[in-house]
Amino acid sequence: MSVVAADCPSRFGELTRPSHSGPAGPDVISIAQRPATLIHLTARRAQQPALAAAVWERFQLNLPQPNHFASDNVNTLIWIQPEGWLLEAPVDTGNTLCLELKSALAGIAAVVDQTHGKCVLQVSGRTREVLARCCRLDLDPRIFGAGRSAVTLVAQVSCVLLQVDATRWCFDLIVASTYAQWLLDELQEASRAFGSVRDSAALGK
Amino acid sequence: MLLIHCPYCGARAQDEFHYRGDANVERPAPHAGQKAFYDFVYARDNPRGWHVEWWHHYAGCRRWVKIERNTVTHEIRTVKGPTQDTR
Ligand SMILES: [Zn+2]
Repeated sequence: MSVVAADCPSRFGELTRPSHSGPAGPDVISIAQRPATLIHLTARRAQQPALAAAVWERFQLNLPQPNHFASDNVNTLIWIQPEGWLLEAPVDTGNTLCLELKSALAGIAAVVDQTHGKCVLQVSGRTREVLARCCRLDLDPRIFGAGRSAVTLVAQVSCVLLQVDATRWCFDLIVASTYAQWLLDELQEASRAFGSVRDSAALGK
Repeated sequence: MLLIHCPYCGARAQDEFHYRGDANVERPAPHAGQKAFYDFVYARDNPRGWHVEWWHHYAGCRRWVKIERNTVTHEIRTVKGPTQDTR
């Protein structure tokens, strides 16, 4: 398993260094951290149509249906719960975007910056087999195709799981930053069954 | 392991939920007296058969759902949102 972390400040410092050593042969799974601004939007009572209109005006994205996400490859909106969505935006929008949304959505939605509490991991490779060992959802494309998302448990921690590319098995995992190291360890452990060599250097251990 | 069909998220494993008790319990009137409040807080039936109960989808949508479950067979008959009647 290879771990490539973004060169940006992060709660889990060991991962901010790119991996130099990997296991021999192709990686079972590859994980890369993607820096992002994450903002939770919760519609106020009966304000969902107003939120949808405001989001369309700002991002040209529709509020996704339950268990789905919508993306234009710059901004991504993920359904999290009834009347609740998570917005993933480019990391450089940062606090400016949050302040802008707080003012634009006053009375329409609660806007909470989650950037420092969560991180986005891009997982690719033999993810289907590896995730089958630590996630109970049926991730077959017939059930969980591209555009599907779920808030669920992966390795006993609550994650947002996004099926980004169903043919290549690319998933995004959004996890609490404080659980990221645990999740990486668990994914690494799960991928050992498929021949992954424990790549301790990448995790700084 | 129960498979619970969350009305918001779909079929999910039981370990995404916390059991949160009997959903039939109703809070007594403010001046109903100590006995009524003791029963409200502590006294529960232990039925054999169908039981209406709260479950919290803590690892998913974080909504509370009201479930009609058979305590003998573990069959789940209905799963509804907190404000929807199960009967
Ligand atoms: Zn749910």
